[in-house]
Amino acid sequence: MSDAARVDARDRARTVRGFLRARRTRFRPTAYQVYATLVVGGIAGALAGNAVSEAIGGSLTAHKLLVFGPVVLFLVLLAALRLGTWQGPVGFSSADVGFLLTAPIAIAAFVRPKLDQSLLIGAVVGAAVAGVAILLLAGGPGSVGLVRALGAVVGMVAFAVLSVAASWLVESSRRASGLVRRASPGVLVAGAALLAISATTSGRAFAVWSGPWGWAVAPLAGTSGWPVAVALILVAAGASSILAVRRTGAAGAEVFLARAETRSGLAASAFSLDYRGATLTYRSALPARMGREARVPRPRAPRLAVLWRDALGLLRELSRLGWATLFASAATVEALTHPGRVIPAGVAAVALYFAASFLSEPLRIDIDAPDTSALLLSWPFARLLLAHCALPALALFAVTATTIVATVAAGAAGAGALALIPTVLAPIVIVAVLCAALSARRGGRVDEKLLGRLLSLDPNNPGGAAVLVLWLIPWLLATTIIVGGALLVIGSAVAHHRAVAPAAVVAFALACTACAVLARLARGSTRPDR
Amino acid sequence: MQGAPLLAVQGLTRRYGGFEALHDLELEVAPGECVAIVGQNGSGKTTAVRTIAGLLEPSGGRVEVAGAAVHTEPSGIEARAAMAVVPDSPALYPDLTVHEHLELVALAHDVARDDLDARIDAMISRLGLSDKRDARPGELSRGMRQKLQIACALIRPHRLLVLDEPVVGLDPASQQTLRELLVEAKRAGVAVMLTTHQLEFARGIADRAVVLADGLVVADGPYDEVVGGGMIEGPESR
Repeated sequence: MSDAARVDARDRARTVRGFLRARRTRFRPTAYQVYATLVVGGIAGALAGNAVSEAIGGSLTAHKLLVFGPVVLFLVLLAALRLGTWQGPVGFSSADVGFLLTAPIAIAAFVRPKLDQSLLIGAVVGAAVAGVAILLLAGGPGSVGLVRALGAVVGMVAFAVLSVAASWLVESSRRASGLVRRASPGVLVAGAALLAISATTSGRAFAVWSGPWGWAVAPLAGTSGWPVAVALILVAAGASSILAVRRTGAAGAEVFLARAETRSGLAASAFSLDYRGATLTYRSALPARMGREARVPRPRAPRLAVLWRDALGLLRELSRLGWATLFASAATVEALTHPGRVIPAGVAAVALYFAASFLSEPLRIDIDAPDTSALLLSWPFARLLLAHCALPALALFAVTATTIVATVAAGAAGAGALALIPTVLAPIVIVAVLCAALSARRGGRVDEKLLGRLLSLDPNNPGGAAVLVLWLIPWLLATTIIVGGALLVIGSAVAHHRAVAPAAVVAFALACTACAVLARLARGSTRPDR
Repeated sequence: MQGAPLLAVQGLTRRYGGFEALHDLELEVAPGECVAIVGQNGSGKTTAVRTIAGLLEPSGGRVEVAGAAVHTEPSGIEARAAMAVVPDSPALYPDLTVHEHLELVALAHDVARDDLDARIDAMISRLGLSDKRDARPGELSRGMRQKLQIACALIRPHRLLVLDEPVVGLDPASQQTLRELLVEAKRAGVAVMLTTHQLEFARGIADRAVVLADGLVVADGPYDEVVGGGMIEGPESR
């Protein structure tokens, strides 16, 4: 292609973009819409500010920044990389792909303006975050000093630009996408370890050597040598931006077509409040896995068919087991290390519910296509639902029991905790699994009639909001109350040095009763209509 | 065959994870020739079209249009300049009118500006969209949107025309118009590749039929021999 033809194609790309800009329907807000947005934004901002203030325990201090800042930025960067595996900072609509990316114009000519725009938006967001942090940091810019404040803004802007550029580098490379997908669970665990380490050290030198996430925090925290950190993050941001710009021609139409189709699917699911549909759309957007499929010997007894099918599903999608293990272990450690405290008990119950949810995927698949299981297995639906609970219950029991043993061995919990394994652990796990299964039975879609009723509720009536929450997450709430309650009963006895045995009996009775009620509800469940 | 092929596909393979949707496809389409790709659902037709059109990257093999490789830049730009594609599902801009869609295509493909409006109007009229000249896609039926996609493909300069299930949603009269347009294109030396389930539509247009099953070419030959000779079973043969 000659230089003249290249320039001509670039001009044509500009003309086409101008044509589309001129004809796009522009949103022109009315004065009332601007006013309402400002009022709602102000209220939401104040509430968010209060929530942040409470979460960090008062004002933002340099020490808190050193403890939490690098970890938060580390997670932001990881999220940006993960986003690049299925969306990323450069996106086109299906129509753009069909009309523009199939035109005889270099794809880079369309990618570059979108990348520039994303980098700019990233920079603005970075500056805004830095501004808020400076304001929160011990009373405003005056306390930080002008030079350090400027350094903080530059550092955060550079970090945001680095995140956007890195996200595009992942988006534009199939190999990088695969690498990020495979590595991110391990990196997430490393992030959690980082948080644990940083919470127990003074952290003065930590932010400087930790990497871009630490360099960006250094001027805000006022660590010694923060100008060096700012210089380092600037170099990293500049290098990644140059690399990103060089790769504007690296992605083909397929990358953008797949992302456009995913966005359309997600929008359609969101519009109909179909979160199962949204999950399936998201999953279909991830690159397909390669390699040999795991096999499990077929059982002879027909009653083991579902257990066999679930084991096969779990082995073929080991990430579900990984996430379930992560959540269940975290729940166990949280409950054991913070006995008798309401929020940790609730958090542990929620995490256990999510662990059970990860393991309930085969049941959800049966509910997505109920006719399939009806044809393959002539079982009543209730029997199918309960059969699908067996493997998750066994797996969760094994994980939580192992975590209890490990926690006791590490000295983070007393040896008495081992007594939980043969007593209350099984009913607690079964409650979580049954609740997750009953939630899966609902199919992840909003009933239109019920939605209509909910929308007709008076928004000023707090009862209406409570009904909405109850309807949206009834089984999560049930798990939180039952499992959290049982943990709290035992934990309180431990924390207040009372006799644990009576508390364990109460918790056991509570969990067993709940199990019986939930099993009865499960036995009464019917095959969903599709 | 009439001269060097405008479309040359060599060993084209496409995998989705461990699943091979298209295996080692070999295909050539000469100027003025029409090849119909037929096969059941899931046989790999749409994968073949999307890969040839450059909308999917091949897992193996090579596609050349007018001697330019489709999947590498800058030769891909030359390939795209020679190829017009009608996708299986219309993807249109919700805020552009029928006329504006064609204007956009003309701009993107550097169509000569002389009498552009008149040519756009003639194309719109030919496809029975005159009443909908200023309508947006939301006001169009499925068939009308399909006709707009066809108009967008035909208004741009092209030497190869690739159509994926072009008659889906079209009424019999529109199918006849499309048939006439394709015959005219062939006469003008355009190479045509189309996929269809409606074997009767392709009869009289397609010179050759390539039958795909599970991503493999199971038959390739003159259309009437392949389709009429019992190698595949069409709805009309039942």
